Amino acid sequence: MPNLTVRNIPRKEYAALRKDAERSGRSLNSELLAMIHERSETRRRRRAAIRQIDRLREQIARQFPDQPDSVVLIREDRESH
Amino acid sequence: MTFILDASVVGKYLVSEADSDKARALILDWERGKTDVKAPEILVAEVASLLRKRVLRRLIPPLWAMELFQRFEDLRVPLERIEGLAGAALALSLKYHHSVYDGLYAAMAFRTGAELITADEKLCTALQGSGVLVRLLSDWN
Repeated sequence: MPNLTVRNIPRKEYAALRKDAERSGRSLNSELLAMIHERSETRRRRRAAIRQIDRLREQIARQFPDQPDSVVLIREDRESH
Repeated sequence: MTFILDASVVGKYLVSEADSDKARALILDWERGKTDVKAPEILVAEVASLLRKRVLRRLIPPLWAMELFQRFEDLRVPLERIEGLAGAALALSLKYHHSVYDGLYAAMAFRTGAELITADEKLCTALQGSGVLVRLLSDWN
């Protein structure tokens, strides 16, 4: 597996990272791997969500084509308070 | 470039209506790393309320609304707490005659130097001269 060396980490960020690692009972290396994993998981879920929203939007447009404008619906809420 | 997402943009992204194609293009640009987006955390409540209204008007079945909302949450739009924004939102709303809810988005744009993107022409007009950068979704390309 590839390795990565990170240079010039700002002191404050490094200290925060160490603290996070301590709190979660992980080594610094494991903490960074968890962050990298979380980032790619977020991107994977986002891409899947975009595909599913496209599908739902088309489904709604086919079966319920006459939708009021979101701007009007939001205005009703925002101006009722 | 970072954009503060108004709920009107997300509403148009989730359900097909005027300028939905532009809202989708913006979200795709974000997913591809061409732009950044974020929003005050009230966005989540406003999107939920928007979907509820469509369900109450029998324009979306409840299960579809729930699924749309879950998928919206899966997008993981970066959210900022409104605690630190509410005072500035109140000040803006009093000066420029819009709601505090509008003000939360405007205050976040002002504070971060990002551009507020909205489909709401009324909000755009109200913020003229406020120093808040604001763009109409219909101008997105």
